[in-house]
Amino acid sequence: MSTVMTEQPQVLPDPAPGDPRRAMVALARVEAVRLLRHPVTIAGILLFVGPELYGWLSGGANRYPVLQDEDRSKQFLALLALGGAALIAANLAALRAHRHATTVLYDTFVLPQPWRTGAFLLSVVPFGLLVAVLVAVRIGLLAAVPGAAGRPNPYELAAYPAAVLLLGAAGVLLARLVRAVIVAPLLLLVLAVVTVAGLLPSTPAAARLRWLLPIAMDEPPMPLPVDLMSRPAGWHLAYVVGLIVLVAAAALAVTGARGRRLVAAGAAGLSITVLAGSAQFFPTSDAVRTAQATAAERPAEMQSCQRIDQVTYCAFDDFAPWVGGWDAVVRGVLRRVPEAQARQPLAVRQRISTADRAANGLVVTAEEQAAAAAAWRRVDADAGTPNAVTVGTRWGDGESEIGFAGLVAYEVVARAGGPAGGQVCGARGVLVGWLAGQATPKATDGLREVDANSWGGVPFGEWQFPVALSVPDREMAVALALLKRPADEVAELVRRSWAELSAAGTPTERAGELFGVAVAPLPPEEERTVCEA
Amino acid sequence: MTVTATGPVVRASDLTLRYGRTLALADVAFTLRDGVTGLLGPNGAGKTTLLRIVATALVPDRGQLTVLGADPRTESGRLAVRRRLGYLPQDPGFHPGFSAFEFVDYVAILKELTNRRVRHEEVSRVLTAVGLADQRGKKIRALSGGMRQRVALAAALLGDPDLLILDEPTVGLDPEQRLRFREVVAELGEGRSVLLSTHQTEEVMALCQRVIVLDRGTVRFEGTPVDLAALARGRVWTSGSRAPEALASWRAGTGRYRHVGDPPTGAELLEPTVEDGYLMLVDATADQEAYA
Amino acid sequence: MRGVSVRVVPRLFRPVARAMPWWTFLAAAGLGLAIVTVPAATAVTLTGEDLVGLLRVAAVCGALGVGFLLDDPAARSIATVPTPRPVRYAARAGVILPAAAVWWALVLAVTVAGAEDGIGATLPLGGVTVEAAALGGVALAVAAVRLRGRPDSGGLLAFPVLLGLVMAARLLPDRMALFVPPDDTEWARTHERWAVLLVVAVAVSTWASQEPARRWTAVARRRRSLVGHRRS
Repeated sequence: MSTVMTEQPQVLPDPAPGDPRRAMVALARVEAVRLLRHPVTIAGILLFVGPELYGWLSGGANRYPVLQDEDRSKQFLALLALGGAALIAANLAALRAHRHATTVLYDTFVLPQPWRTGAFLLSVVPFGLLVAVLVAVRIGLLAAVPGAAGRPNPYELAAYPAAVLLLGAAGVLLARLVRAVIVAPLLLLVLAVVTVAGLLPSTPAAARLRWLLPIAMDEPPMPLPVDLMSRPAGWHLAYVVGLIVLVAAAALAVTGARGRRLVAAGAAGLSITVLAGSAQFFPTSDAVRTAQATAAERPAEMQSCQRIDQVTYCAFDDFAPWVGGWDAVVRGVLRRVPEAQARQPLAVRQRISTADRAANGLVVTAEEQAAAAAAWRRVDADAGTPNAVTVGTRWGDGESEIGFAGLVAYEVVARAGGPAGGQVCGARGVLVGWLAGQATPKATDGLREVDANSWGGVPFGEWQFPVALSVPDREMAVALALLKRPADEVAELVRRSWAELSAAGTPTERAGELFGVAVAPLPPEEERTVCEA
Repeated sequence: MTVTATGPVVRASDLTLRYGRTLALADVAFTLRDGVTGLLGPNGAGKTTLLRIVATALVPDRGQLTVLGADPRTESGRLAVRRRLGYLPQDPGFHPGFSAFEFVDYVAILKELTNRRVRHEEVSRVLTAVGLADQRGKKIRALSGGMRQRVALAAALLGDPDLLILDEPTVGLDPEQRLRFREVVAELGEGRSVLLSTHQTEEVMALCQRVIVLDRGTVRFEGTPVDLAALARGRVWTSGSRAPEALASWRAGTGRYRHVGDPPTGAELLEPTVEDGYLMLVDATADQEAYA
Repeated sequence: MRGVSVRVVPRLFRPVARAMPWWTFLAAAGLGLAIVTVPAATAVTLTGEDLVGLLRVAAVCGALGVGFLLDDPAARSIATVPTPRPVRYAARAGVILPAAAVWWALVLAVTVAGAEDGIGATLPLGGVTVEAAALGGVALAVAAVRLRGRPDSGGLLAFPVLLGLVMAARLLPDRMALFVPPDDTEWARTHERWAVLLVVAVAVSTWASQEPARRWTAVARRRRSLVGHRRS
């Protein structure tokens, strides 16, 4: 404070008349450094970076990221941790003079109040740049992973620093409106609640209101190829930018700034906000909707296929890097079956689901599901890949691997095309369970995880697809017991008794006999599951 | 409850306190008796720290301290001290929504004046003593800085304390208020002990029977104001021009220069004041801001 | 001797209640109440898990406000009164706890009343209350620790720490999780953790309310020589 006091006489001669801009920039620079060094900012950055870093260092990170999904997957965390830090730190900085009762002194300074507010607004920019760098580095690292699929949307990436700038500007505006530090954290809580509330099941029209928030969260049933995405990310970014301009202009106006340029900026901000805000609500274009329908119903038209030995893999172009990963699972199943079975041609086709069944509250009956599965089989037959095994657009975690492995194993055992969600009982169930569970180490982990979280039986395959199956607990118990034994030893028995084990009518007890595993008695009639596959 | 005239009210030795890497007090030792004692020193000398320690608001890293015959290290000793202590901090805070009366009444409750009638009488008494009897109903946020300072002083006077510790009490008071304040303190100094910090030497001359000079955490002088002035005897002189070799040199109202330091031979010597003695003690070049 | 200090407490309630920064608390508590009232008053259908989530946000709101209630602009003036800080804090606690309890009861009542048929009865109100108490306790503990050294704003440290902790708690791995859905099998175990947190917060608050702030003769090292150099 004393330095400021002694400097004041030097300012009095006014060496640069009418140029408070330079003073504002100088002040902004000082405030920017303070903001970046603020404990709240550092804590926010740690919260944002820490878990990601831990994931990579501990090996828990997904090696098959979908870039058009990852580009927005951390937006909510960024809103709370980074945007929250900007909001609180900028608010505290702008309130500092008031908190330490130095406003009286500050009000006598040459640099008028609006310019000081401008400096506080500008001081958020370097933090925004830092966030942009963090986000760019993150997506760059993800894109460098060999299994990375698709490409990120730059608008989604720009939403991170935009949210930080918006919340920082809001922090300054709040400080000028309410001289209490409690308001900023409360606003952050409200934002968090409202953003999460946007996810609640509601009518499609109401759900679109979430696009009026700084960050629009949605939980699509599964990642889509880039060309099928319908998020209005570009318009949303423009909307947020308009909001930033509007909030900054409001902060300046509240502190007494007037003038044509401010009005022009405010008007520009308002029009961008309104225009871009409403543009977000344009219905998805017909071309994209047609493409989505085609991709869901007749994916072959949009896919390319490649063969590895006798196995054909058809995937959307974005996801071509995953074929190697799928192949590892397929080989993991085939190496345990008799030569003759393993040499038969096999097809794998990637599928997507665009209908969010849970969100729309649709209940699918068993008949509808069977019909859908039959339609899929017809489409596959027409495309030249009969009985293709279905794989989704998620990969790299145990759950997706075990789901896929189960479908592959079922196809190898039954050669009947995709099952429509039925129970696979008897020796066949044991065989499918064991083949899938031993396919890859990740599949083994995935099986354990799914088994722990399910009752009655273990499901295989994505639940959004009509194609799925499940193995009842009674059969699964035998399969899990086999998984504890050396795989080669079990494989020998499997190859020897393949015909009997893979036959539809062979009871579980017979499988238990063959492998020397005790089988639990059948549950009472009314608790038994219906086995149709 | 009065302290016997012979026993010291405060006896301190070896008081040392660090704030991180800064040594605030280094082996401070002094004794305090009845009457008004001034604690003089430049900014940052450790005055507030020392006062807070004596007032039991702060604990030193080491040292011995006896206040009003009690040992503030123990909880019972601290309580005994606090029951007979009045303390005016340097930057007293208030609840701006309280009236002057309500605030002093609140502090009075905290000073264990539990009987409502007795308490209200006491609050009225101290408000009258500081000249705020007419303003007692006013909200603190509506009072001027000087009046707020007097509210805080009134709170310190509650319960007729045996030891009164005042940290820069005259800051923010106008000359008339300052005069009135001197009257109050001088009156209080009769029969009890007042320790007040200041960096104004005139205050010391006007009020204090004894003076302690603190500089950079150490006691540089302890004695009467006359003894302090005597330190500069033979080292204050006057001449018609500036003397760069002097510790301090300024043009007095008479138009002639007054110098403190080692005089040249044959200089015209002057009778030193407390300020001159103080200047001789404290490194004038390092702490110029103290006299700014 | 001590007895007088304790007898002061009931007389302190009124002035202490007036001296506390209620505005901040009321803003935070009001928002917490609004967060549960809006869905309760409108036709939104919420699951038990959603309602527990809203109760948790309301609890964070309340804790943010509570963190400011120890702030005392007059702290310097009353630093050396005979009534020691634990007693002064006790008087504050005597005002804060009933106020917070009434507010929380209101939040729970609104949530239960607004819940869809049958859901209100299934809400684990006890567990959520333990969470709310622990959050409030943490806020008070952080504020008390901050106020130990300097008469400043305790809430100023308490609110970022609280927000940071809540965010960090959501990132915890499953085996240490604090926020679990109401039907989770780990519900009871996580609430043991919450109870421990509450106990720790109360212990820290109690410790932080003790005075004085530094330990006598704790750092008695040889600094005499150092001092000598400085002065020369």
